[in-house]
Amino acid sequence: MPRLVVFRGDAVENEIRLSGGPVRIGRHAGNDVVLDDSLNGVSRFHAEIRPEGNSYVIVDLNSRNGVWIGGKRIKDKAALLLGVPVTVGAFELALEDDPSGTFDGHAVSPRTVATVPLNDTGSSASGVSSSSSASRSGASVSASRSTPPRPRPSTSMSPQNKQILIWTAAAVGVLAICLVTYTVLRRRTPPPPPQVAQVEPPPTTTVPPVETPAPPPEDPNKALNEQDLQAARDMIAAGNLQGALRERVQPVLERDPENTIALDLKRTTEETLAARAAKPKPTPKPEAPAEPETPGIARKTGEAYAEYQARVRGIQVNMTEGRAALDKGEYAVGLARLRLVDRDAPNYQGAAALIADGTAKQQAAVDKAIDSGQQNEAAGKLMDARRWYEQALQINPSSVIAREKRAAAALKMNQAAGDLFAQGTAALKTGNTQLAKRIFQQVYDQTLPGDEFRDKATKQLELLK
Amino acid sequence: MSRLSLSRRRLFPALAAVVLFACSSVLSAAQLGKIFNSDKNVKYQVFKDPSGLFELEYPEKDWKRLPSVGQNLVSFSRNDGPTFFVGHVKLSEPFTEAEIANLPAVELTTLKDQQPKATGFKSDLFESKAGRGVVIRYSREGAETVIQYSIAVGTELFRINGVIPDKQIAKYEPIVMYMIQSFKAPAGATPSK
Repeated sequence: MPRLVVFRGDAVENEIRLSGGPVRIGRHAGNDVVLDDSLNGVSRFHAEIRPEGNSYVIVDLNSRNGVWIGGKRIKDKAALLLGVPVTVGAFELALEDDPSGTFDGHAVSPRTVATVPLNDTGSSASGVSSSSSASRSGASVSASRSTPPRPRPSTSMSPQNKQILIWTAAAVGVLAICLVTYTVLRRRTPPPPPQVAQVEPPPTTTVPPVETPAPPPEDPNKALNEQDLQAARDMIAAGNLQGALRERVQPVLERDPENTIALDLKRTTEETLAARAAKPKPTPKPEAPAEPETPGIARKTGEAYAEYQARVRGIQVNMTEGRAALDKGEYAVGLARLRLVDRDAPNYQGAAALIADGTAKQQAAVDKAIDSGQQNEAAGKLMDARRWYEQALQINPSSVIAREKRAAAALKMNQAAGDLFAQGTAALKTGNTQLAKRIFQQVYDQTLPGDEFRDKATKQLELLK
Repeated sequence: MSRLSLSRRRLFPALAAVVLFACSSVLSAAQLGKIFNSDKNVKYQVFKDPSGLFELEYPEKDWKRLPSVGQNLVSFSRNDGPTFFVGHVKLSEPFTEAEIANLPAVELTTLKDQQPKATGFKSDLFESKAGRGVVIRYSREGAETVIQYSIAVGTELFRINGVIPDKQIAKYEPIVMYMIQSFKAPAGATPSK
């Protein structure tokens, strides 16, 4: 039967003989293999080793820091090969062949293992051996101390694979040196050196012993700290400084008292809080004058200030537009607007005087237009006369004289156009189409759009084309 | 006696004025013109259009009837100069009242278009036995006077023309006017009032 050897650093923590059933691993006391990890690198129920056929697999039970094999985090589950170490938090697990068992692994590393009970309950594993703090440092480990060397895959490797393995080990070594240097520079306690398995040459091969690189040690708290720090930043950005300090920064500092980011965050947050506490309360602003009224526009009783302001704006717009219209000679529009102003706010900015002045100018303009119309009418220029009367009406739409004059001129034009049109149709009936066309064109020219005989002449001209 | 003769002297002018007023109101100007201007020695005969479109009277002596040419239904002439002819146009449909009222302008414009050198155009409404028409008088090239009477009857438009040398205008105008006034359409119709 194979056995599971649990390392912590260079020391062997446990040895468990696998019986064929699942073995659950985690921090909780209810697990088959309890990994006491005070830094929370191991979840309460971290992983489980299950037999599948003649082999075993290790299943990640949704642990926070995962299960790592060969420097990669496994997804869900992975095959558990003999001699290939599995990292769980700060521990390493290795499956070894038990010379006395029947486990059909890929390689067998004959070892002498001193077995000790894992715990008093011995709950799940059929046989558990434990060696307390045995050294893993190199080949000098003696069998008499019952310290098992680090398991080593015993398969014979091709030279190419060995070369890859060597280069990989070298790269990992360099990375490890860099990591150590970085850690020293940050005055942190250097992490345990990378676990380098000491291997014995497999008896069946002549391959010289090589060091198998261990997966890079993952700070079990790193991800948690980063998560908390990010959350702290978010809370600070949201203004919850106290909460960020208490709920996020402080736990990080408890886990890692020298975490410079957390320390900086704590310092700046505390400074901000102190500054806030020291900041004098804003003195109340002197009250703005309560809802001032526009001169000349009285606020009605019970009128809301917003309504009053809207009314003021309307009056001011009418005033401005009214003045502009009067300046342009658009008396009707200008006077209408100014009368609205005078109605809503009597005598606002001299509206009444403007109305009087504008009315006088309007009357003068109407009189002038009517005079011009009459002169044209006397000269037989009915169309021009009608246009003048029309203009008089535009200047003052309520001018009765202009309206009557325009109507009379239109009637005369209509009669003249009717006679002319009759001449056209008479010419048409006699067969003189040229004369008829000429007369219909005259009708068209001597009428205005909308006149009865202009439409008729237009139709006749269309027919004669 | 002397008083009676004195009152009679006053009565005659009054009676004469009343008679004159009555005559003037009963007779049209044209009739008066005919009465006062026509040559009582001229005797007329009736000409009836063979197709029955119209009839008119023309002098029995010295006026020859000529064969019709083109739009002219009939022509008459006298050797020493004056001519008379009846033109005819078939209307696409009868004139309306408004068109009849505006016929003088149409005929005037038509004549001016046709004879740009003609001068002295004058137009007036005129009643013939065929009804109310328009008379246009104008001078052609300073040598002769043309009197045109245009009248529409139903879908027939008649243009009756008398051309008189200016030297003979006093002698022949009454004859031409008589002929125009005697125009009746269609032939045998009762004169319209």
